Amino acid sequence: MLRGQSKETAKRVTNWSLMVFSIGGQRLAARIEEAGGVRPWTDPMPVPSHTPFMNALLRHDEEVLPVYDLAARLKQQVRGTPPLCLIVKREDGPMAVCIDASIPTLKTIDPQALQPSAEPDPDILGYCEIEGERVPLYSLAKLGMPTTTHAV
Amino acid sequence: MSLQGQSKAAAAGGVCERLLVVASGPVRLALSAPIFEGMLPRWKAGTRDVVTVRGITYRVTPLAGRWDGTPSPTTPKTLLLLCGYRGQHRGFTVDHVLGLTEVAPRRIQSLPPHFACEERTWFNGFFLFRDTIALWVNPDWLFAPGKGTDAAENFEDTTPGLTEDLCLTEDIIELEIIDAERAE
Repeated sequence: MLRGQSKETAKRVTNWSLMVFSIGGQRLAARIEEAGGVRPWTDPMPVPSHTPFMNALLRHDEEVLPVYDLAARLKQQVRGTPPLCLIVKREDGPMAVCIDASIPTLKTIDPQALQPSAEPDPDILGYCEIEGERVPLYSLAKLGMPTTTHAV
Repeated sequence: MSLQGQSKAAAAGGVCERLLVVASGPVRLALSAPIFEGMLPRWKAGTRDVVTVRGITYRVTPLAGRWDGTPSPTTPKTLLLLCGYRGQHRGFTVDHVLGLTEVAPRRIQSLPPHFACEERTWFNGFFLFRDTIALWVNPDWLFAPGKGTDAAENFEDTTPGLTEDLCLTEDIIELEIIDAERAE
């Protein structure tokens, strides 16, 4: 602990800031530093592909982002018109994910309170309790990467 | 400007790739100009899978069939592109032609690394085209035998019997694209 800091301040520093968003009404969370922003969704151009759930390119002016279809992976339909585009800071470069039109919210959690994932989903760091709901915390930095293993 | 036989055009800052941009469903694809041998309305070629034009026999498939895509329904506007590459001849149906463009090399980008499977060999890259994106098709993949159809696609142009199929000599469209543009 740095000199001059109270115990309360030190504890606050270790907390995680999360962005809570939804896909098909299902709430998901991600660490805020792994999100590059949110903007209105625009129609992507499909790209023939055999990479699971990677099937389009999204153009925003001169910028082009690959699109990861997280909704399809979750077997959900994105709700709301227009939906939103979540920019994901994946390790190998940014990509776009279509999410519900409802504006994401910010939450702070103590990572110690994370509940381990019961399912063998390498993209889920664990579960957190948000407003009485058990919400999966996704690792956007590794979302959809071929081989990922995480420890909570 | 005639398209046939032209692949590159000199431009300030480098040599441009000359590409024909077509629509196949929602996908925008760019084909290298040298492989393009002609074009005609699909209805003029009939419904057969093989068409002979000026003595050259082309096996016809929807372009979308190359990647297991669902081909668009054939309409009066559906076009048949006649292509040749390294001694092979193939016909591909597309919804329409968007135009001919010359793209400077610096405008062509590789697929992002997120695309990690064989699609990386399907496309040489992509570039911004008008208000969308066009994927530059790799001709090696385009002309490679498809799954389950190798025998049909590997026929020789002189296979006996094929000459009895539709033979067009006069109706081929000489592509004189006036909507050419240079993307630099």
